[in-house]
Amino acid sequence: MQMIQVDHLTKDYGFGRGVFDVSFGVEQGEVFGFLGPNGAGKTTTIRHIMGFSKPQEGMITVQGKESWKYSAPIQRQLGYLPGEIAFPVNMTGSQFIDHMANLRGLSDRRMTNYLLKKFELEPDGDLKRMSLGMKRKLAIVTAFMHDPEILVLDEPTSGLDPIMQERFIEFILEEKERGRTILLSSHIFSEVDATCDRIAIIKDGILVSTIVADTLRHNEDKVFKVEFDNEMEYQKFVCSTSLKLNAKRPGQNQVKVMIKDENIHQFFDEMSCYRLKFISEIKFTLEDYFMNFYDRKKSVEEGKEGMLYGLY
Amino acid sequence: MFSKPIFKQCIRSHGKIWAIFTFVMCLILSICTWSFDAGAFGAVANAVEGTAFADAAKNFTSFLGSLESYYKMIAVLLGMVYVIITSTNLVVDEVDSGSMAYTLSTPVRRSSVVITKMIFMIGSVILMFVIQAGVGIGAAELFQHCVSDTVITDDVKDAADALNRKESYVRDHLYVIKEDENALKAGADAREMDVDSYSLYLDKAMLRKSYKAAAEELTDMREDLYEDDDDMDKDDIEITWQELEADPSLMLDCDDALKKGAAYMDMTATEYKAFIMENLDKEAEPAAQEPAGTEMEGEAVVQETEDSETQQAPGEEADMELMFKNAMEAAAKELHTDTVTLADNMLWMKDKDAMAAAVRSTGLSEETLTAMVNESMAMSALNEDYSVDFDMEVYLWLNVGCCLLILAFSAIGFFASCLFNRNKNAMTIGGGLPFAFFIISIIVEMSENLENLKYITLTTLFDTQEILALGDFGVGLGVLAGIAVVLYTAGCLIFTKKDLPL
Repeated sequence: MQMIQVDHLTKDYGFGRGVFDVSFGVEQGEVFGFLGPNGAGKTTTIRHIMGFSKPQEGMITVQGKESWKYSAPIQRQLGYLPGEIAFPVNMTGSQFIDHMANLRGLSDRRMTNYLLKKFELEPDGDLKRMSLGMKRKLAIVTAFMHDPEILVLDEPTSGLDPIMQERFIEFILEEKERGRTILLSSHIFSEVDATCDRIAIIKDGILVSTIVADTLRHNEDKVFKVEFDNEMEYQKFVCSTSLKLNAKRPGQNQVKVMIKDENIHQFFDEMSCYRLKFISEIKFTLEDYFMNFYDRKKSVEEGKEGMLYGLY
Repeated sequence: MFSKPIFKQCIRSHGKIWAIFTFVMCLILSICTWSFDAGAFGAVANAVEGTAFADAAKNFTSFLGSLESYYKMIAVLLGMVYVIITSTNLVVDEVDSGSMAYTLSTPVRRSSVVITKMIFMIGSVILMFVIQAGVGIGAAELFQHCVSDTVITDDVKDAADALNRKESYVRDHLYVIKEDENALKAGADAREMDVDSYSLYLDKAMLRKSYKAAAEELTDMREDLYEDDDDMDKDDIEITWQELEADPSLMLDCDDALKKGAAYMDMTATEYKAFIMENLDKEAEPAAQEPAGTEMEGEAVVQETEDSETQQAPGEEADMELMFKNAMEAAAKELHTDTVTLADNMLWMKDKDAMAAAVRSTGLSEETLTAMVNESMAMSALNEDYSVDFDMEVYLWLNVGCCLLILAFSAIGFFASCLFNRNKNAMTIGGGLPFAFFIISIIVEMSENLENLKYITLTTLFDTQEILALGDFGVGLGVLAGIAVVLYTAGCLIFTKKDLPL
């Protein structure tokens, strides 16, 4: 069942800002990564999922309910961690926790206490005097105190120290174990890589691609860079080979060859006939894949091409 | 529709500022009440009586008049600052800072959020004015003793001491002062008058009290009489003591009213009735003489002065006033002071040299002049009593009116707060507009040339002059209430329907 369904969402803020025809779905029990550079439209999309804004076009449903119309009832089963930390004024941490519990009509404090312990948070202090990390932890506690079915996290680990980041990732994985549905927006690669089943990449308000993380992690295609000893060898190889060449660099006597794992023997057999300087594998990681999209100078098409033919 | 946790949070985050503003308002109001000087008013009111300034001076310096200036300026200013700060903080600040996201990530509907905040805004303003009104009434009673009953003035206190009787008894039976020489002396000293003028004042005060009591009785009676008559509204039924003073014959047919009135004069109802009729006859006399005066016209040059006096009553009064003014000027010169100081210390007129100078200058006899001085001092004292007259209805309407004006301002602020997503935009409109209205109202007050500006400021709708006169102020207040209702409703609707940048 689709817990969150974003269907052709469009919101044009003008000046090329906003989101345009974004569609994706988050399955039950799935951790869905929502990746993109700053200003790509991640928060805008989440704003619409939360029902803070009304879609210009398209529709969003959460557990089958339209998010704009039924924003209030949806919150019973949804935990939202805002990207920006801005607490109400004149409160201590404990008062804020009580306030949020009252707003949720929550009397069961087991989850609250569990979270307080997990993130080692002492909430008895004025909110204004809290460090960013403490505020972040407090936000986490109040967002998930009602043990929601769906978790929507907007850049959750910014402001946390590496240990707490680790603790948070642990928490997400725990929730995943318990069958919770999680939408995780981030521009930090490592936390997405560590947790997500599927990843959507958004750039300039357009959803570039949705991929299953495992297919990238265990990519069967490998790219090798080969440099020949001299130009003659290079020309001979280029003319006679049946292998798939991603790039040719005559000046350096280099080629990039794409090899499927099953063909690796054929590749080395063929290579044994030539005099080479070196063979090296071009490691193609998730991070490279994202970095390619992150580069704001490149257009979406260039990014897709880079994905096909390797990066270097 | 109403969320208790949000309301509690409103109180927590805005309770302090509310308490501070309410406290400051009550403090200033108490100081205004405490510092009001009835004596100074009496003299001023008497000095300008009959001049063009009479009306203005009455509102400016009577007790309610001084409260009116408080409500027109200070209460409006403080209330306005409070609502500007609070309305901005309540909604747009939370949107701009992003803390609204936490509230809206709970199952509380957006409409409940904004309506609860609206209820807090309106409730806090109303409570502020209720407390203020309460403190105002309390302070008036405490400092001026003018709410529960007629004031116990200093002369009554001293006279009661001399008589060894209770103050409230003496206040309600002023004639006992007249009957006792020591008490009369003590009372006169307390009023800074001499015995003659003081007993004249007592006569007038007793008569006024009797009129008041009679008027109340008459009104009660008429209320019973016209209970089922829809054509008669409250103003038609009510007979005020001023109306009765102008036409005492109104009560001649009502035995109960006569009885009540007589009690203050140490008379039986029959004696009182006779007394009233006598007074009525006296008043009718000059009118009856008028035709006679006309007949005599031109007969003898010597009689001319007398003729002109009797010919037209208003002219006579004006002449006497003019003469009295001349007398005062002469006396002031003799005493090496000015007329204003002399007006404050009318007793100096009775100084031998001053009186002689006055007689020389006006040609009136010493007796006439002394009588005029006495009359003037008695009226001054009576005005002093009148100045602290506390009309509860006027006072409550002042509070209601000011509260409605502030509510209208708060509605502007709240509307802007709901409309905009950025704090500074909301502040510009929601704070700037009420502030501009206030500034314009001050300009209008100061300059007659710019009077037309009053049509572009909301403050005009809170017409304190009309309220003081219990005149035609209802429409303005109704419009203020209407503005508040419309803007609050529109603000709530906009907030529930708009995109929030959270």
